[in-house]
Amino acid sequence: MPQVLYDSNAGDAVKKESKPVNHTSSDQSAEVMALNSTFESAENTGGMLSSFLIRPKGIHVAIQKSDEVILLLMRRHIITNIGWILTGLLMIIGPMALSFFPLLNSLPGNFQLMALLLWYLLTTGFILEQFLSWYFHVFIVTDRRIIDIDFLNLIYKNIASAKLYQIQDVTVVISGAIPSLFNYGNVLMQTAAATTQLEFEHIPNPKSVAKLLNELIAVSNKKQRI
Amino acid sequence: MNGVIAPDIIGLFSSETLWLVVKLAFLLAFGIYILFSIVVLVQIRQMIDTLNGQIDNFLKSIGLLHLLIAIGSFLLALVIL
Repeated sequence: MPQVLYDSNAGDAVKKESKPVNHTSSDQSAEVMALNSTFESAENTGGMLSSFLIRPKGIHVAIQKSDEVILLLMRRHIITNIGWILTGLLMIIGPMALSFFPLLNSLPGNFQLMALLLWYLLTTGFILEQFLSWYFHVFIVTDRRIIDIDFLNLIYKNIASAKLYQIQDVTVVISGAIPSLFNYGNVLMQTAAATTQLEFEHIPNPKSVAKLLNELIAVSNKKQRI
Repeated sequence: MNGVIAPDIIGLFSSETLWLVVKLAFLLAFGIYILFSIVVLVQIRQMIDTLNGQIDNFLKSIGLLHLLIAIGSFLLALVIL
Protein backbone atom coordinates (compact mmCIF):
# COMPACT_ATOMS: atom_id res chain seq x y z
CA MET A 1 0.00 0.00 0.00
CA PRO A 2 1.53 3.33 -0.99
CA GLN A 3 2.48 5.57 1.91
CA VAL A 4 2.94 9.30 1.97
CA LEU A 5 6.40 9.82 3.35
CA TYR A 6 8.47 12.87 4.01
CA ASP A 7 11.65 12.52 1.98
CA SER A 8 14.19 14.83 3.53
CA ASN A 9 16.52 14.40 0.55
CA ALA A 10 13.83 15.53 -1.91
CA GLY A 11 13.02 18.52 0.25
CA ASP A 12 9.28 18.15 -0.31
CA ALA A 13 6.73 15.62 0.73
CA VAL A 14 6.55 12.96 -2.00
CA LYS A 15 4.38 9.93 -2.48
CA LYS A 16 6.42 6.80 -2.50
CA GLU A 17 5.63 3.20 -3.00
CA SER A 18 7.13 1.48 -0.06
CA LYS A 19 6.76 -1.66 1.91
CA PRO A 20 6.09 -1.20 5.59
CA VAL A 21 9.21 -1.94 7.59
CA ASN A 22 9.01 -5.35 9.20
CA HIS A 23 9.46 -4.07 12.69
CA THR A 24 8.82 -7.22 14.71
CA SER A 25 7.21 -6.79 18.05
CA SER A 26 10.34 -8.11 19.74
CA ASP A 27 12.53 -5.52 17.93
CA GLN A 28 10.39 -2.59 18.94
CA SER A 29 9.77 -3.79 22.45
CA ALA A 30 13.52 -4.04 23.07
CA GLU A 31 13.77 -0.27 22.84
CA VAL A 32 10.64 0.26 24.90
CA MET A 33 11.84 -2.27 27.46
CA ALA A 34 15.12 -0.38 27.72
CA LEU A 35 13.12 2.82 28.23
CA ASN A 36 10.89 1.28 30.88
CA SER A 37 13.78 -0.26 32.77
CA THR A 38 15.64 3.05 32.83
CA PHE A 39 12.70 5.20 33.86
CA GLU A 40 10.74 2.81 36.04
CA SER A 41 9.00 5.33 38.18
CA ALA A 42 9.34 8.39 36.01
CA GLU A 43 6.20 10.12 34.87
CA ASN A 44 5.53 12.81 32.36
CA THR A 45 4.82 15.94 34.34
CA GLY A 46 4.13 19.50 33.31
CA GLY A 47 2.29 18.58 30.15
CA MET A 48 3.54 19.86 26.82
CA LEU A 49 5.69 22.48 28.51
CA SER A 50 7.70 19.86 30.34
CA SER A 51 11.42 19.58 29.71
CA PHE A 52 11.34 15.79 29.99
CA LEU A 53 8.69 13.76 28.19
CA ILE A 54 8.69 9.96 28.08
CA ARG A 55 6.85 8.45 25.08
CA PRO A 56 5.19 11.81 24.37
CA LYS A 57 1.84 11.63 22.63
CA GLY A 58 0.76 13.99 19.90
CA ILE A 59 4.28 14.97 18.91
CA HIS A 60 5.72 14.48 15.46
CA VAL A 61 8.99 15.58 13.92
CA ALA A 62 9.16 16.41 10.22
CA ILE A 63 12.09 14.03 9.61
CA GLN A 64 10.47 11.22 11.59
CA LYS A 65 9.71 8.03 9.67
CA SER A 66 6.17 6.68 9.70
CA ASP A 67 6.87 3.82 12.12
CA GLU A 68 9.56 5.54 14.14
CA VAL A 69 8.69 5.91 17.81
CA ILE A 70 9.75 8.86 19.91
CA LEU A 71 11.01 7.49 23.22
CA LEU A 72 12.17 10.71 24.85
CA LEU A 73 11.65 14.37 24.12
CA MET A 74 13.77 16.71 26.17
CA ARG A 75 14.37 20.40 26.48
CA ARG A 76 16.79 22.40 28.56
CA HIS A 77 15.91 22.16 32.24
CA ILE A 78 13.28 24.67 33.29
CA ILE A 79 15.73 26.26 35.72
CA THR A 80 17.83 27.51 32.79
CA ASN A 81 15.01 29.93 32.01
CA ILE A 82 15.38 31.81 35.30
CA GLY A 83 17.65 34.43 33.72
CA TRP A 84 15.28 35.67 31.07
CA ILE A 85 12.22 35.26 33.32
CA LEU A 86 13.77 37.58 35.90
CA THR A 87 14.85 39.98 33.18
CA GLY A 88 11.32 39.97 31.81
CA LEU A 89 9.85 40.65 35.25
CA LEU A 90 12.26 43.53 35.74
CA MET A 91 11.25 44.95 32.38
CA ILE A 92 7.58 44.70 33.36
CA ILE A 93 7.99 46.51 36.66
CA GLY A 94 10.69 48.85 35.33
CA PRO A 95 8.34 51.71 34.39
CA MET A 96 7.26 51.89 38.03
CA ALA A 97 10.68 53.36 38.69
CA LEU A 98 9.60 56.38 36.65
CA SER A 99 7.76 57.67 39.70
CA PHE A 100 11.17 57.99 41.37
CA PHE A 101 13.14 58.92 38.24
CA PRO A 102 10.85 61.08 36.07
CA LEU A 103 12.71 60.50 32.82
CA LEU A 104 9.69 61.03 30.61
CA ASN A 105 8.34 64.17 32.25
CA SER A 106 9.81 66.35 29.52
CA LEU A 107 7.55 64.62 26.98
CA PRO A 108 3.90 65.52 26.43
CA GLY A 109 1.33 63.06 27.78
CA ASN A 110 0.63 61.32 24.48
CA PHE A 111 4.35 60.74 23.87
CA GLN A 112 4.76 59.35 27.36
CA LEU A 113 1.94 56.89 26.69
CA MET A 114 3.46 55.74 23.41
CA ALA A 115 6.90 55.43 25.01
CA LEU A 116 5.40 53.14 27.66
CA LEU A 117 3.57 51.15 24.99
CA LEU A 118 6.77 50.73 23.01
CA TRP A 119 8.59 49.58 26.15
CA TYR A 120 5.95 46.92 26.88
CA LEU A 121 5.97 45.79 23.26
CA LEU A 122 9.72 45.28 23.47
CA THR A 123 9.23 43.39 26.75
CA THR A 124 6.61 41.15 25.13
CA GLY A 125 8.86 40.49 22.14
CA PHE A 126 11.76 39.62 24.41
CA ILE A 127 9.72 37.18 26.53
CA LEU A 128 8.10 35.58 23.48
CA GLU A 129 11.41 35.12 21.68
CA GLN A 130 13.06 33.58 24.76
CA PHE A 131 10.14 31.21 25.32
CA LEU A 132 10.08 30.09 21.69
CA SER A 133 13.85 29.50 21.75
CA TRP A 134 13.42 27.25 24.78
CA TYR A 135 10.27 25.47 23.57
CA PHE A 136 11.50 24.57 20.08
CA HIS A 137 15.08 23.72 21.08
CA VAL A 138 14.50 20.02 21.65
CA PHE A 139 16.48 16.83 21.94
CA ILE A 140 14.78 13.65 20.81
CA VAL A 141 15.61 9.99 21.24
CA THR A 142 13.67 7.62 19.02
CA ASP A 143 13.90 3.87 18.67
CA ARG A 144 16.26 4.43 15.74
CA ARG A 145 18.22 7.63 16.26
CA ILE A 146 18.86 10.77 18.17
CA ILE A 147 17.72 14.14 16.86
CA ASP A 148 18.93 17.55 17.96
CA ILE A 149 16.75 20.47 16.87
CA ASP A 150 18.56 23.72 17.59
CA PHE A 151 16.43 26.82 17.48
CA LEU A 152 18.77 29.23 19.15
CA ASN A 153 17.08 32.38 17.96
CA LEU A 154 14.60 33.52 15.39
CA ILE A 155 16.95 33.28 12.43
CA TYR A 156 19.05 30.23 13.29
CA LYS A 157 17.74 26.69 13.01
CA ASN A 158 19.76 23.49 12.78
CA ILE A 159 18.51 19.90 12.75
CA ALA A 160 21.09 17.18 13.29
CA SER A 161 20.50 13.47 13.70
CA ALA A 162 22.49 10.30 14.04
CA LYS A 163 21.41 6.69 14.01
CA LEU A 164 21.83 4.81 17.25
CA TYR A 165 24.36 2.35 15.86
CA GLN A 166 26.53 5.29 14.73
CA ILE A 167 26.99 6.53 18.27
CA GLN A 168 30.42 5.56 19.47
CA ASP A 169 30.69 7.26 22.82
CA VAL A 170 28.33 8.78 25.36
CA THR A 171 29.67 11.19 27.98
CA VAL A 172 27.76 12.92 30.78
CA VAL A 173 28.89 16.28 32.11
CA ILE A 174 27.25 17.79 35.20
CA SER A 175 29.19 20.86 36.14
CA GLY A 176 28.36 23.31 38.89
CA ALA A 177 26.37 23.51 42.10
CA ILE A 178 23.01 24.36 40.55
CA PRO A 179 23.12 21.61 37.90
CA SER A 180 24.10 19.13 40.61
CA LEU A 181 21.29 20.35 42.85
CA PHE A 182 18.63 20.23 40.14
CA ASN A 183 20.05 17.16 38.38
CA TYR A 184 20.62 18.52 34.91
CA GLY A 185 23.63 18.50 32.63
CA ASN A 186 25.00 17.75 29.19
CA VAL A 187 25.14 14.45 27.36
CA LEU A 188 27.82 14.47 24.71
CA MET A 189 27.77 11.86 21.95
CA GLN A 190 30.57 11.10 19.53
CA THR A 191 29.16 9.64 16.34
CA ALA A 192 30.28 8.18 13.06
CA ALA A 193 27.63 10.20 11.25
CA ALA A 194 28.11 13.35 9.19
CA THR A 195 27.76 15.31 12.40
CA THR A 196 30.57 13.81 14.46
CA GLN A 197 29.41 15.22 17.74
CA LEU A 198 25.96 15.84 19.13
CA GLU A 199 25.24 17.33 22.49
CA PHE A 200 22.09 17.35 24.59
CA GLU A 201 22.53 20.51 26.64
CA HIS A 202 21.22 21.16 30.14
CA ILE A 203 18.77 18.25 30.04
CA PRO A 204 17.15 16.75 33.14
CA ASN A 205 18.29 13.30 34.34
CA PRO A 206 21.40 13.20 32.15
CA LYS A 207 22.78 10.03 33.74
CA SER A 208 19.54 8.15 33.12
CA VAL A 209 19.46 9.42 29.54
CA ALA A 210 23.04 8.24 29.00
CA LYS A 211 22.14 4.85 30.48
CA LEU A 212 19.17 4.58 28.12
CA LEU A 213 21.31 5.58 25.15
CA ASN A 214 23.87 2.91 25.96
CA GLU A 215 21.14 0.29 26.13
CA LEU A 216 19.59 1.48 22.88
CA ILE A 217 22.99 1.48 21.18
CA ALA A 218 23.50 -2.12 22.29
CA VAL A 219 20.09 -3.12 20.88
CA SER A 220 20.78 -1.26 17.64
CA ASN A 221 24.23 -2.78 17.19
CA LYS A 222 22.74 -6.21 17.80
CA LYS A 223 20.17 -5.59 15.08
CA GLN A 224 22.84 -4.41 12.68
CA ARG A 225 24.80 -7.63 13.16
CA ILE A 226 21.72 -9.76 12.38
CA MET B 1 26.81 98.32 5.58
CA ASN B 2 26.58 94.89 4.15
CA GLY B 3 24.48 92.63 6.37
CA VAL B 4 24.68 88.90 6.15
CA ILE B 5 21.36 87.32 6.43
CA ALA B 6 21.89 84.35 8.69
CA PRO B 7 19.60 81.43 8.09
CA ASP B 8 16.94 81.02 10.69
CA ILE B 9 18.63 78.02 12.27
CA ILE B 10 16.79 78.43 15.50
CA GLY B 11 13.52 78.39 13.62
CA LEU B 12 14.37 74.97 12.19
CA PHE B 13 14.25 73.60 15.69
CA SER B 14 10.86 74.93 16.56
CA SER B 15 8.90 72.77 18.94
CA GLU B 16 6.54 71.76 16.17
CA THR B 17 9.31 70.43 13.98
CA LEU B 18 11.02 68.77 16.90
CA TRP B 19 7.92 66.87 17.94
CA LEU B 20 7.33 65.88 14.35
CA VAL B 21 10.81 64.35 14.29
CA VAL B 22 10.11 62.59 17.58
CA LYS B 23 6.81 61.32 16.17
CA LEU B 24 8.59 59.98 13.08
CA ALA B 25 11.12 58.26 15.34
CA PHE B 26 8.30 56.57 17.26
CA LEU B 27 6.60 55.52 14.03
CA LEU B 28 9.87 54.10 12.74
CA ALA B 29 10.33 52.14 15.98
CA PHE B 30 6.80 50.74 15.78
CA GLY B 31 7.30 49.95 12.10
CA ILE B 32 10.48 48.00 12.83
CA TYR B 33 8.63 46.16 15.59
CA ILE B 34 5.94 45.14 13.09
CA LEU B 35 8.68 43.60 10.92
CA PHE B 36 10.00 41.76 13.98
CA SER B 37 6.48 40.47 14.72
CA ILE B 38 6.17 39.17 11.16
CA VAL B 39 9.49 37.34 11.53
CA VAL B 40 8.28 35.82 14.82
CA LEU B 41 5.06 34.60 13.20
CA VAL B 42 6.88 33.11 10.20
CA GLN B 43 9.37 31.36 12.47
CA ILE B 44 6.58 29.96 14.66
CA ARG B 45 4.99 28.44 11.58
CA GLN B 46 8.28 27.05 10.32
CA MET B 47 9.13 25.50 13.66
CA ILE B 48 5.67 23.99 13.98
CA ASP B 49 6.25 22.40 10.56
CA THR B 50 9.45 20.92 11.99
CA LEU B 51 8.08 19.89 15.36
CA ASN B 52 4.35 19.29 15.74
CA GLY B 53 3.02 19.45 19.27
CA GLN B 54 -0.24 19.86 21.11
CA ILE B 55 -0.03 23.60 21.61
CA ASP B 56 0.67 24.48 17.97
CA ASN B 57 -2.61 26.31 17.47
CA PHE B 58 -2.08 28.25 20.68
CA LEU B 59 1.39 29.33 19.58
CA LYS B 60 0.13 30.38 16.15
CA SER B 61 -2.60 32.41 17.83
CA ILE B 62 -0.07 34.08 20.11
CA GLY B 63 2.11 34.95 17.13
CA LEU B 64 -0.84 36.39 15.24
CA LEU B 65 -2.09 38.32 18.26
CA HIS B 66 1.40 39.71 18.77
CA LEU B 67 1.47 40.94 15.18
CA LEU B 68 -1.99 42.49 15.45
CA ILE B 69 -0.99 44.32 18.64
CA ALA B 70 2.12 45.65 16.90
CA ILE B 71 0.04 46.92 13.98
CA GLY B 72 -2.52 48.40 16.34
CA SER B 73 0.20 50.20 18.27
CA PHE B 74 1.57 51.68 15.06
CA LEU B 75 -1.86 52.96 14.06
CA LEU B 76 -2.41 54.33 17.55
CA ALA B 77 0.89 56.17 17.37
CA LEU B 78 -0.12 57.56 13.98
CA VAL B 79 -3.34 58.94 15.41
CA ILE B 80 -2.47 60.25 18.86
CA LEU B 81 1.01 61.62 18.32
